[in-house]
Amino acid sequence: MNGSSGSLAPRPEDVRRVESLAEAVCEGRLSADAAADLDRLLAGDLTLCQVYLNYMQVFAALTAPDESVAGLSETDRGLPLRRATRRLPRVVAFAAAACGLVAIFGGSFAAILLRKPPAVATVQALSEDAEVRSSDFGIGTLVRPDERVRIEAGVVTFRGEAGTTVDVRGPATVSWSGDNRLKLITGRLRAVVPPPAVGFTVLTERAEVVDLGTEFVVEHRLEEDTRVGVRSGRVDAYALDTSGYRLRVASLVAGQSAVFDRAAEIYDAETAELGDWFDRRVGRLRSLSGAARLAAETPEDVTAGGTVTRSHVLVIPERRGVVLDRPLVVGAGDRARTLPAGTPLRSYLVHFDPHLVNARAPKGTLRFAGPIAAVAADASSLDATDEPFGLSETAYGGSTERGLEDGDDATATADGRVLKFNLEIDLGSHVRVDQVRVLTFEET
Amino acid sequence: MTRGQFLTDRHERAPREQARFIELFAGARLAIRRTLLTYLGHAEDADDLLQETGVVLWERFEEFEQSRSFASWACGIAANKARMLLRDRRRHRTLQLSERAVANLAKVHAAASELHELRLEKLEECLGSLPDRDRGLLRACHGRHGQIADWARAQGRPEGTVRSRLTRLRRKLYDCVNRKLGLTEDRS
Repeated sequence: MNGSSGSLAPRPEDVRRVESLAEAVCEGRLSADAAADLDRLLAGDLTLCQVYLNYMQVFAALTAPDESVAGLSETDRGLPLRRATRRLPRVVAFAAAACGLVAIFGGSFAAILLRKPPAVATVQALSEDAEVRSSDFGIGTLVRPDERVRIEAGVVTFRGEAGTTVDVRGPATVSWSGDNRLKLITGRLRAVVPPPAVGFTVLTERAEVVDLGTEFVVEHRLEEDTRVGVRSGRVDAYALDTSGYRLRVASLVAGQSAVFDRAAEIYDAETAELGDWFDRRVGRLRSLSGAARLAAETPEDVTAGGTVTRSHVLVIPERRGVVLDRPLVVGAGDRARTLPAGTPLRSYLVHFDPHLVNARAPKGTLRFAGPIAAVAADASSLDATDEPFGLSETAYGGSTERGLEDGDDATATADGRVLKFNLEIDLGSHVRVDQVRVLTFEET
Repeated sequence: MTRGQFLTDRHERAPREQARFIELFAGARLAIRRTLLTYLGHAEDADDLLQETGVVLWERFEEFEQSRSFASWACGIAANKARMLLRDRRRHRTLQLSERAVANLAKVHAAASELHELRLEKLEECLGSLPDRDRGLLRACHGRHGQIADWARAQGRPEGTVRSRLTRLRRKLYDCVNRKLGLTEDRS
C-alpha cells in the first residue's frame, strides 16, 4: 500500500525507483521528469522518504568524510590551495577546526568570532550595477582571509594589502588569502601590481599566475580552461594538475596570452578583448569614495535628463591614449591649465544629473592611477574638450547647461591623483547638469 | 539593526559565549554539513548554506538549552534552512520537491536520527572493507563532479568508467549498510 499516511511496506519497485532517483541526484543528472517522479513518491510515502534519506546519507558521508573514517581523511574540497592542507596530522585537528570555521563563515562573522583576522583587501570601487551576495557590501568593506566574495553583476575593484589593484567583473567569485594571493574561482579580473606587491599570485583551477611586476588579465569559468593575458611587464603562469601541483610554466610578456586546459597543456590564446574591456569600462581608476559609482555602461546621452543619477556622481571613462597635436588650455583664471602636445592623456567624465528629483548632494573622492593634468569644470572647457576626449557614441552638450556653479567644488588634491568633489543640488532645473572632465596623464 | 551590528553587540557582551559557541560549532560542523548534503545533494549548495546556518545558529544561540545536544539542535535548524532552499530553488534547480515531499522528509529525518547514527557507524565499517584503490577514488572524486574528468585523464582511465565506478561504490556501500542492519540482501 502506498498511502499518504506512510506505509511500512512500499512496493519493491518504488523502493528501487527511489534509490535510482537518489543516485541521479547524487550524480547531478536528475531530469525534470525524474524530479517530478521523485516528488510524487516522497510526498506519498514516508517509508520511501526513509529510503531516500538513507541513500543520500551515504552521499553526504562520502562528500563530507569524517577524519576518523578509514582512508577518507582529506577533508578539504577547495581549489588547489588544498595542497597546503593535505594529509593534515591529527595533532593539529583543533587548529584545523578553527581554520575551517574561518573558511566556512567568511568575512564578518568569522572576524567577530575569531577576534577579527586582519583584512587582506579592501573594496575600492563599485560600478553602479554591482551586485554582491552580501548584505552590507560597499566601498570600504574589508575583506578577510579566505572570505568568498560572490559578485553577481557589475565591477568591483579591490586593493590588496600589498597594494595590488584588482578589478573583478561579475559574475565572479573570488577569495583573497593573506599571502598576496587571490583565488579566482570563476570570473574575469584585471590585476595591476605595483613594485611592493610583486609576486602577487592569482590561482585558478587550472593555473597559478605569478606576477613579476606587471598588469595582467585572467579569465576562468568553473570546469573550463583558464586564459591569461599580460598587458605590461611579465608573469610566470604555471599549469596545474588536478591536485594543484605545478606541471609546466609559461613566461608571458606584454602582449602575450595563453590558455591553460584541464590536461595542464598550455596553448596560445587571445585576450586582447578582455583587457580592452577593463580599459574601456574601468579605465585607470584606483578608488572611489563617498557618493561615486563607475558607469555600468557607456551612456548614449549625458545631456540633461539623458542619464539621471540620484544621489551619486557617475564616473564615465572616456578616450585613452589621446595625444594632442597642439597645446590646449583648459579652465579659466587661477585654475587654467595647459594640456601639453605630444603626451598621451586619458579622460573621465564625472556626471551628476538628479533631473528634478529630490536627491542628496553628493560628495566624495576619485583616485586615478595617473596624475591629473587638468580639470575641465566650466561649460566652455567641457565643450572644447568634447571633441578630442569625448566618446563618439555619447551625446554631449547641446542646449544643456553644464559645468559647475558657485557652491559646487571639484579640485585635485595635493598629490595630484585625487579629485575631491562636493556638489550642490540645482533645484528645479531641467536643463542643467553638473559635469567635470578629468584629464590624466597615462601612468608610466 | 543590521545582522553585523547584532553580532557585534553580542561579541562585546559575551566573549565566553563566543568561545563556547565556537567549540560547540566546531564539534557539530560535520553533522550539520552532512544534514545539508543529505537534503540538497549538492556540495556547493550545502557549503553555501552551512555559512548561513552558522550565522543563524549564532543569532539564536541564546535559545539553545545547554542540557540538549548542540548537534541535534543545530542539525534541526540546518534542516529547516535546507527545506527553505529546496522550496526556493524550485525555479532554477533540477531537484524540485513539493511542500509535502519536503515536509515528509523532515518528519522522517527528525524521527530517525538515532537510526542515522547507527547507519553511519555501519558505513564506516563498510568503508574500511573497501580496497585501497576504491577509497582513493572516493577521496579524489566524490562530490566533485568537475574533477572526475581530470582525475580520469590523469589515471589514464575513461571518464565514463570512473563515473560508473563511483556510482557502483556508492550503491555498494548503501547495500552494505542495509545488509549489516539486516534490512536487505546484498545486491553488490
